[in-house]
Amino acid sequence: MTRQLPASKGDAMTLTDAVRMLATGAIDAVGLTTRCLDRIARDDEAVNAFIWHDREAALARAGWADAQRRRHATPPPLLGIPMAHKDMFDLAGRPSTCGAAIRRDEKPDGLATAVGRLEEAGAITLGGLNMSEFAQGPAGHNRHFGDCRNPWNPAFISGGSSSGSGAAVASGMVLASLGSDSGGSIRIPASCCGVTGLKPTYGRVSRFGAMPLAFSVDCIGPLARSARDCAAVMTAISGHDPRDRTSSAEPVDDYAAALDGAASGDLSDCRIGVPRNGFFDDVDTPVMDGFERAMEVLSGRGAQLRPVDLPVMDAVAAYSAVVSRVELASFHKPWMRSRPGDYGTSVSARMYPAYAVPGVHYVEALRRRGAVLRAFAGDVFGKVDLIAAPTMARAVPTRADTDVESGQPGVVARFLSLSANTRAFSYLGLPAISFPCGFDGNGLPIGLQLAGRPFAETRLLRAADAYQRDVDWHRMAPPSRGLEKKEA
Amino acid sequence: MARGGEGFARRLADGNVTMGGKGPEIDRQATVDYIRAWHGIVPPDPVALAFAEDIAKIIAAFEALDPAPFEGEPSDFLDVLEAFAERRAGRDPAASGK
Repeated sequence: MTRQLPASKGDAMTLTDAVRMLATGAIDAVGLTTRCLDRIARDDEAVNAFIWHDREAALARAGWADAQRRRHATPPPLLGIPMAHKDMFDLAGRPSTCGAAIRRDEKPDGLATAVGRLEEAGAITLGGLNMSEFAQGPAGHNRHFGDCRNPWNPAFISGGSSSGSGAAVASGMVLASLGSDSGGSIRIPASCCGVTGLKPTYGRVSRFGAMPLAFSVDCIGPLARSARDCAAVMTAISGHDPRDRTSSAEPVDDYAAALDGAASGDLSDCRIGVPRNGFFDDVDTPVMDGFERAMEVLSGRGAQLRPVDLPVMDAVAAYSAVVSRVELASFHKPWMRSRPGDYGTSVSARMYPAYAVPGVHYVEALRRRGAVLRAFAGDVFGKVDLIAAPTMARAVPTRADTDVESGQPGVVARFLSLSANTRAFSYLGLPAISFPCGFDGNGLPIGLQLAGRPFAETRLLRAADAYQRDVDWHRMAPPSRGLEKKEA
Repeated sequence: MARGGEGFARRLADGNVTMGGKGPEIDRQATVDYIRAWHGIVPPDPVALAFAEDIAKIIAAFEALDPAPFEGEPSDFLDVLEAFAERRAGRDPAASGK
């Protein structure tokens, strides 16, 4: 059975709440930032969501934000909102470790477009968040900076690779965060930590100034408490960037405004397909229970539910494994040759076999990608608007059970299976959102994943927002971890 | 050449794909030798060999698909992505451009 009452409701302020409170003067940016910094001081020793943070710079920026608000009748939409991002973005001279010992002292001069757009919108960057080393790994282990821990229970994984993003948002240390997703790295930590995470359509958000993992599938996107929060971030960061030639010129919706329209909350124009194949093999009972309850809520909002057969999934699985692995291996070849011992075992071991993938196969996987997407989208999106599945088929596992370095039997398969339900949409370039839909028997969150047509971010956000009008899992906060000590 | 690989897409959707013949035979030692010869990289640790077991499955899955000669280019993908965009499907719930 899905657990109905988590351990603590806490005070789960959303970004949307904070924007409203700042506008009315109920709180100022210095007060809000101090509150987040206090959370970091109280809980991060146990959670380990941050690699670094800069208290003085954050408070100085907050003071600037308060001054700006006093001067301007219409301040920027995210003015004074504390955020922190996966530590893989260029931040104009601040650290960007990529979660790796190899990059421990890197401080690139440039500024990533997505972060720059958030700062133009007034956001405050508190620091850099923990992540799987070089964004490799769906669990959140990190040998160099310590594992990021699940704030609901530190023995369990936070999910990865945007591990600190999920954990920091869930813990109230920040109100939103940028992560990256090349196979599930936004959606998996969102699911594990009980927050909302959106992987946009490939090309919707500029990748300029972000660490590359696999350039054909990399996407930058938000993790925040609610769909409405993610919409606010997406409105700021989306759109063409001449410095990223793969960024799309497709028009950008005002995602935040779209949730306030006359038909908001009404899903009667939305057909949701539940796959008969590919996503429901070996689903844990509490996960299935949470999924079915979520479908009832969406149906209650008018969504039309129908089963759907997904075509070409064998091709998607085969090709996606080749593309991301080879591109990743290409970037890391010099270090894999000269500094293999400076990687965590799970990272170098996972990369190693990709060097044996023939170049012909890699090219074929890219050459056929358009045809595979055409076959998939032409068939599926003629029948439904969204596809629904659990973000993760299994309940959140412990860190020990997914620690590849332990060498225990079956650990590699368990580790790789974490992204089984998310990888396909990365290869297809489709947008997908994960949001919390319950808790399992261990008190860990369960995530629901919806995926849509290319550039269907508005529809995804509307569906998640409609759900979150009826069910408040996204407002649940984990208990304070302040009294627990980080393991050695 | 068929831009976007419509013919291949149709055959995939119809399930009308054929085996490409006998696939390669890959074992762990062949993988290790290949990587050392082409890249000068040796297994960084024993766990790498466990992951290397996966390579045969990856290639076998790949080889089971239709070769589709002369169809498709990598750049087709971005065209298809935009061709199937929500806005063009006529089902855009909020088409207010920014």
